[in-house]
Amino acid sequence: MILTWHPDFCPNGEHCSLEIEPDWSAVRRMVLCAHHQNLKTTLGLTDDQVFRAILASSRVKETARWTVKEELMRLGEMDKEHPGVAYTVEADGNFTIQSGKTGPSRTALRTAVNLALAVVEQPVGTSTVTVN
Amino acid sequence: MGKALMVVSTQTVLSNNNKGNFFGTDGFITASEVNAQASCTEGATFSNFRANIISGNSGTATFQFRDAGANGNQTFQITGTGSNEDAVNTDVLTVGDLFNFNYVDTGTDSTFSWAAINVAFASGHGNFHGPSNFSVGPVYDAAGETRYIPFAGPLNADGGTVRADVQWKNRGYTSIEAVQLYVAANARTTDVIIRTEINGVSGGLSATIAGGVTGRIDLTGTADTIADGGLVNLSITLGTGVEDMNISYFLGTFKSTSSKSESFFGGGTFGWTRAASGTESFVPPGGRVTTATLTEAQARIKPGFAATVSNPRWYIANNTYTSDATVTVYRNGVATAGTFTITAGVDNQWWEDAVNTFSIDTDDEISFGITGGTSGNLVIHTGGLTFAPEAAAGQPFQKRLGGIPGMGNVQPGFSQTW
Repeated sequence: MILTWHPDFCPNGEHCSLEIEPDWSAVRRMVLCAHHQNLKTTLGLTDDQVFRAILASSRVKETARWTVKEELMRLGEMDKEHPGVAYTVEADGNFTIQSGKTGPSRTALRTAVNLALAVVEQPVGTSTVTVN
Repeated sequence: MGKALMVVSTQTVLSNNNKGNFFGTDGFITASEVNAQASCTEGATFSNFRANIISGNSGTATFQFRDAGANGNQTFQITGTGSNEDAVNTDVLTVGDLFNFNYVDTGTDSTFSWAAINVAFASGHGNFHGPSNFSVGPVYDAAGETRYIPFAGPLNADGGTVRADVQWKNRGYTSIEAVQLYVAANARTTDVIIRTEINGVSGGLSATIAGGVTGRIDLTGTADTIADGGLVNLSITLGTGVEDMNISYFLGTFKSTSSKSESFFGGGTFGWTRAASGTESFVPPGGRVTTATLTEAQARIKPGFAATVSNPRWYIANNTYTSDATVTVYRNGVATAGTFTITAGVDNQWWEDAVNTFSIDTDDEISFGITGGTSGNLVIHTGGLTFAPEAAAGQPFQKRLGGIPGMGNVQPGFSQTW
């Protein structure tokens, strides 16, 4: 069986296509978007290193989104069945989480997100997360 | 390589700039087309995009087929209420192209009964079937559990706990060639396993989705064989952890070596509860059915190809009816020979007309009607029927009019146009 992953967070509306091992341990073949191709070329990454970077990038994004959702649930502003906070992908591949909060509330969210991301594998290259 | 019918139906509202697709659904999305785009896993021609608006739409609504994120050829408008179709243009997609539709309106939102399209695979004969909720999708967080998912109707949070409630009884297809799903959010840190199930046994289209992964996942390269009478569904197994995973749709690619196809509606894991009534309820033969407030004219859909229609069948989970109910397939508002009786009080059973068949041409429209029960409720989880290629032109006159066993009653007003 062939397992193909098409990440939905490549910048500029493009999409990578990654045929991967069933246990997600390695990539078999890939077609990269311009952003991730540039990452691979610039940093001299192997196919598996690019795959790990994309996977780590997704996990950074989703950890941040979940952290914000958990905080909003704790505040009673979102229930668990809510699809979760929206985010945007910047042209450089970084993420902006749209929390809708300002001032001290947003500061608190940023602190929580940074704490959560401290224990998550960081991708090679970009994929910083900003909470707005 | 003949046409098959894809149907999305819901009695919810289509809002300006909504995006959706031709299966399911419990909702549409405005923000991101990606949630609604599905991969055309077979080269295929899409044609006869059509829809029926039953209320709202104070202005003009425009339906647009989308091909790989750009406008395709098929488009049409509806002013006020009513149906319309693009009967001229087609969209030819190659393997891997993404398809969906967009909706815009100039006035109030539209409540529509269904949207439909024909799909003809470039190689072989088949169709796409799946459940959906394109508005990001429901949450799956039933840690450590296996839940069950249908191939039609809405996507409900967590999936169902009763496999029988989501199974579809196949009559026409011979394989499931691919499965795809769109993961809109995934905070899980442990693996999730997606499987096809055939008669309750895991199929070959099974895969792990790693924690934190979002985007579209395609399972291809192997096929599940399915037999006449085989029961098919999907399952999802979560590891530990309470984090959320949101899935917008699942979609299976079904093929038939005998050029058959099917259309079936889904009531989701909760089903459609129908209170007993002598007033007939009407539903379309595809999409999402969790309530029945349509007239027969609103429910009927044109399959868009000539076919012999057979095996109308419904799955009933709970049945407290105190008298029998009757399900009938209607063609152009007239009852056909396709009918079966649901015995009062009998739960957890498929009900089917395995004897009678009737013919449709490219313009005929079909719907399901149900009446009876006297008192109590019926919980209906799915229902549909099978299309087989029509006899070729030049066949004896009496063959089309029921001169051979199994053709059922001659329908009043049936016209022979040889």
